[in-house]
Amino acid sequence: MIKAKEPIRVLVVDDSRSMRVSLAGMLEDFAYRVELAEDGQDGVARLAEFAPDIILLDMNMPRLDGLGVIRHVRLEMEDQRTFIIMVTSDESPGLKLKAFTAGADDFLNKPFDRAELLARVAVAARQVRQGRRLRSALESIGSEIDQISALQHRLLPDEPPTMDGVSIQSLYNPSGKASGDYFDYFTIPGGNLRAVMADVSGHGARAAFLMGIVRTLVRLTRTNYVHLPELLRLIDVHLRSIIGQEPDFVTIMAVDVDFAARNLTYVNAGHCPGLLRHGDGRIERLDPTSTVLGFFDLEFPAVEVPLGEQASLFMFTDGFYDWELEPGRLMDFDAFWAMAVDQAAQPGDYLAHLMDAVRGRMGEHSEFRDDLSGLWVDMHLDRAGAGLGGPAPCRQCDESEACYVVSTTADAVAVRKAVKAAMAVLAESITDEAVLYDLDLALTEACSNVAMHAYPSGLSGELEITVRLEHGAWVMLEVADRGRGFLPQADIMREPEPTAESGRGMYIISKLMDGIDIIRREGKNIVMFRKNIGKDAWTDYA
Amino acid sequence: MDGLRIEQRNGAVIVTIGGEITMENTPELKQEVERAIKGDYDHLILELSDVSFIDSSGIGFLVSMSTRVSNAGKSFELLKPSPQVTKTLELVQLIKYFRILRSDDELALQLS
Repeated sequence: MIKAKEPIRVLVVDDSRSMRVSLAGMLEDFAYRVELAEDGQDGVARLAEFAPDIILLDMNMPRLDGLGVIRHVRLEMEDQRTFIIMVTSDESPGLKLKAFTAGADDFLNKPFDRAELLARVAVAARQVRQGRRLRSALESIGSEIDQISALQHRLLPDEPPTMDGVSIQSLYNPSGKASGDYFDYFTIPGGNLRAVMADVSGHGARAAFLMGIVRTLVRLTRTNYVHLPELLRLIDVHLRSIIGQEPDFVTIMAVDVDFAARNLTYVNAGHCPGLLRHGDGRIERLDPTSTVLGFFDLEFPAVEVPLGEQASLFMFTDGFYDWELEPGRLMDFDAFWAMAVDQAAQPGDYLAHLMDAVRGRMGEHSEFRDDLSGLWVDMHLDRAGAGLGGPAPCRQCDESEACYVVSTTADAVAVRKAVKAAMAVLAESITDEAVLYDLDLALTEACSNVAMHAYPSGLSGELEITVRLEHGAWVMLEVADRGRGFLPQADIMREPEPTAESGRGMYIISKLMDGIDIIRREGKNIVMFRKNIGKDAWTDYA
Repeated sequence: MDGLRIEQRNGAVIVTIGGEITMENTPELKQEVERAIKGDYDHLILELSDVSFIDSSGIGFLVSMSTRVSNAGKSFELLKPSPQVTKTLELVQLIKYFRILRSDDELALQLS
């Protein structure tokens, strides 16, 4: 670490003893730290240990002359920083020119005036201090960027999700130390997979900061599940409140893979298309479904793609093709896409092979200019554990029909009656009182929320309860309304303050159930939640 | 109202609530209890041994009464909460927030 307040060190190199002593005396009066060398060679020998900031250098000396010292400092030591003042009685213009060319900074004619000497050294000292301050500032900026970079690496997933039938490869290649790229993958309630690839405009600390926010919101959905369109809305609302009029934006692609239903749902907000390779070799391009996040108040529609027994998905950032083939000519997306499609048909390590192919196209002067990230998800849906996410068909009744649906007006008295009716249906299948109590409480909370908040006060709208179950395994409950809907806030499932008189509903549901989903579908706002229930709790379970 | 009994003993107002405490009846409960503590009292005690179901609105009612009574410098206790009440209070981590009397003996001690 450089300390700006350290005294300035001056090395006086002169073969005349009287000159050395006289110079040292003048300088020490002004709190410079001075060391003396009796000729060029002696001076060079002292450089490493004393590390002078300024050298007062006689030009005509035995063994090694001033020019030799300058060349040693500038060429051999590659030190452009030490301030070198020639002190010479040699008036020949050739010498001064040579010395300046070799790297001297200033000169002083012998014999010199004390005031002029001190003035020139003071100018040099001012420059040295300025340089120290600059270096110290750069060091501290550098160390902050290092810290951001280290933190950012920790934000990326470091181990694959523990899911049967899924293998994931990732590639992260930031162009600088801090980056705006982000990818993630994790299992969501129901045992399904969520994978995300995002790119914050620009790079460096600013992009890394915004990326951290995006990551936090995405990660929140690991425990507090929200549907993909809601996730993008949540990120968009936050970004717009932070970014304001700034030109930053975020592109993001996110997918949910439902292993039981064998489909993939994706949203793509202005991001590079995803490459989906089906088991039969068919390639599907998952193009943007909306524009970028951070500018407009938008809806983010999701697209559902049916999957077979096997599929692979490649998501990436534009760093893969945003580089120059040769000066002035960019690699284009179509050429990169062709390579990505080509490699998808090859067995083995997809990302490594793709990078090899990309590097093979790069010319001598090509280099990646932007952050570059890739995620390859290989899915064997036939081997994957069956998830329960999404509106599962009721296994008790018809494959597609629910066990029980009850509609009512959303007022306090009516909703409690409807909940009791739904509970009576569940009590025919479930015998465990404690489990029934939990379901009753969660369902009551969801319905109370609708009664209190879904419709403008004074108006009571419609509420619908849907019950689905698989005997011996799980119950799924849905509460739907046709009100104005709400954007799930990040903290709705958080434990409220002890003195709060309301706001515990979602927290209670999240504590009692094994997964919650808040979605908007066909004009309805739906809170759906599922509880996995052990076999012993069911009637006549054999 | 149904399922509600109010008695006064040794400076305590004891309100016995039965059945469910939900959004359906909390506004009415609140009104009744507030009327019961209009006069002078040292304790407000809610007897909850017969409560078969309580949701977050019910919890909100308990919190609101507790805050009101504490602000008036009086004591607020729950008497013999049913397993259902205990379960919901534990769920929302409020079981330690309330002073709870587990039996009539504890009540007698409190009022002696």
